[in-house]
Amino acid sequence: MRKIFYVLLVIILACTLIFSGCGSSSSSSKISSTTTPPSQKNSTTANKKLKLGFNNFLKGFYSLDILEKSFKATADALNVDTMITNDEGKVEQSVQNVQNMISSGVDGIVFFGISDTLFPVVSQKCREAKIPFVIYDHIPSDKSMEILQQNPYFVGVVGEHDYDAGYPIGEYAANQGLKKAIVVTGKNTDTTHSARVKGFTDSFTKAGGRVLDVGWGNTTLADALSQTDDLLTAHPDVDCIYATGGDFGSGALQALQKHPNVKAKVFVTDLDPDILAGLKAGTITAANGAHWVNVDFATILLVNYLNNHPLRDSGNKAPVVTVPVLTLPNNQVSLYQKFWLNNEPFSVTELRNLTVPWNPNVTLNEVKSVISNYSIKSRLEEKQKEGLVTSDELKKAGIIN
Amino acid sequence: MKSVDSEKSYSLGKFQERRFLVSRYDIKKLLSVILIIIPYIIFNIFTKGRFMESSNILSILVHAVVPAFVAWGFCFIFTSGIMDLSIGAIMILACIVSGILAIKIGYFGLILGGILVSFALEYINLKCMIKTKIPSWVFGLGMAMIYEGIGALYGASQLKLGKQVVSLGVTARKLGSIPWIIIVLALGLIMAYIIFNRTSIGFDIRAVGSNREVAKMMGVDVTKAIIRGGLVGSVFIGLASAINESYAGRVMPTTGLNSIALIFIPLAVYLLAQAFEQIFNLTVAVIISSVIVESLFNILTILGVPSGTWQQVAVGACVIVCGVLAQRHYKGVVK
Repeated sequence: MRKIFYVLLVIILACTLIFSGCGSSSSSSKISSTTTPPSQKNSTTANKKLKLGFNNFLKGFYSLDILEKSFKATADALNVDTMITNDEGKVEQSVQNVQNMISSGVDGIVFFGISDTLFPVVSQKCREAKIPFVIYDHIPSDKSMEILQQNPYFVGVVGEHDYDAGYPIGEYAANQGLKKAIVVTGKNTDTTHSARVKGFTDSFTKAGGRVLDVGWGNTTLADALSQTDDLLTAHPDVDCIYATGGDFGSGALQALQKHPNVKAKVFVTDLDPDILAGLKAGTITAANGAHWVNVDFATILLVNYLNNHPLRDSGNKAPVVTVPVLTLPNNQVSLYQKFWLNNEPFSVTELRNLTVPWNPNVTLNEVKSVISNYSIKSRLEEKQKEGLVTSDELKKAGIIN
Repeated sequence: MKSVDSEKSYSLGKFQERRFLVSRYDIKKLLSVILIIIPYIIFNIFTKGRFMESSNILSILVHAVVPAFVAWGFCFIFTSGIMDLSIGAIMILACIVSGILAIKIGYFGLILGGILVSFALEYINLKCMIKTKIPSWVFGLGMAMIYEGIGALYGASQLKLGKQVVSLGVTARKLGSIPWIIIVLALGLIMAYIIFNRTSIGFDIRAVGSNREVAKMMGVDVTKAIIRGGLVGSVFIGLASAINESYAGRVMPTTGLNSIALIFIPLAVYLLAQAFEQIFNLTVAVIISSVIVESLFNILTILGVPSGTWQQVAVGACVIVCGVLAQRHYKGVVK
């Protein structure tokens, strides 16, 4: 028995070491490894493959993990190595991980800041270490941007305004004639969710609707289910439920099924597989998201900078680029699943065409143009050109007539 | 003759004393029940009858099931002095495995998956805690991080395939809905009551939890008692995981010790149950406490108290009050 115990203990320790090894870094794909561009070899980091650091704020959380997945795919396409850290949902760990990445010798950092207070701290650390960095997903406040722009190692921001994720949903719900809403969301301290709630509330109330209650503090699907259940008991007259995250949407939907007397429509931000299934089945009226491609373009800005081709704004400032939040109609769900979740919405060629080693004359306007044209329609049309989707499929999805 | 008379009168006195004691105990119980019910009636008036609508009461009961099962698990694990903080992470893995098995083989897989994972991981924890002599809460934190890591790796592997963590959809969802969830709650209560009060496992863990040295002198095998109690507790944790998976349909892995948040409400339930232990049996008190805690969230929502802030303040205060009540007869220094 004792022997079995020790064998078990050794297995657990070995597994832990293997797992931690798996999670900390990744190498490039097979496609990229054979095609190192010549210009990269002549850059400041000559004869050395670039290595980018990336912080995932909380591994295990779908909407954050999908950003990591997209970053890895882009890094593979651009033939750079990665070092990925997990901030474990803690602000102080974000700063610590930036320090760890710098110490481990990364060439640049792709940074996610959950709180605005983090940006000046991280900026200072990168400046001292002379490590360029780019910010993805969360756009810093104007005050933080002023500080960031003074740092020569600040490469830019590519993200979305979470306010803009909630606003169109509120507008759309109000246009459907809905008047009374409840919102199911995350922690009030999470700027992503609070901004989405504010966006929804502003547009919904502007159009004459009323937000009866906001269910804050959810972290899991089960939390959202229980809280929506309570909210529907408190407000059986609601006709609209807005969930600011995928799990909250799934929970809200299940709770609604337990209240057959409540006739409400469900709206969600985040396009995860469960929400796609709800959209397809018609239980979710509308959902938006897919803005996680911001990390692809943040990585592109950084790789260009590291190849001595910084993409600067008109005032020679680091650019701030906003990615649109896409609304998905239910007839396009299958194609979204295929090209966004099972694959990447941008091909390797498209990503390389925006990066100096493959396109030495790339401009910021080119990058901005691709981002501003980012839509379900434009992407699917591109996939048709690549021969990955047929016109019949596009007709069925209502993309072409 | 005299001695017979005196014996009779002694027996009568004893009987009357016993009857008197039983009555006092019953009155105390009755008073407690009334004291619990009165706020419900008051809140019901405040909410114009919405709070005590049958559908709402049923909904509160449903919400109370998972915390009650986890708290019963605590009764067997924590009572013997083991503070295992990896239970939240164990639950996440148990939910995932029970979900995967449920998709393949239905309800049998759902329950088996939950119980097997919970049983195996708790066994590893207990064995390691006892062998290494590391304080249980320290060891539990370490194991929580390992289990969370395994869950996160599974999540990442699913993401690569364009999927999410296993989701039950419409499969095996009856266990988490009325009436089955209430039937399972009743069965759980019977099971917990019998094992905790009528078997040597229950006696031993209470003896060990009360005073380890004295229990040892009484002939209780402390190690065996802790492991047996822990394993029984793990069955309840496994059942809680299966019910939770069936109730929510999907449980996402997490990292950074965020799994501990999963056992916060059950911990509040367990503390409150300890406070009620003077009046009700601990296993019965768990159900009462679970309903009270879930009612608290429900009533605060109905009354329009902001969630995420004031509701958390109220529940936090409730936990502290419960802790104070639970320790009020303790004479020594509370650790």
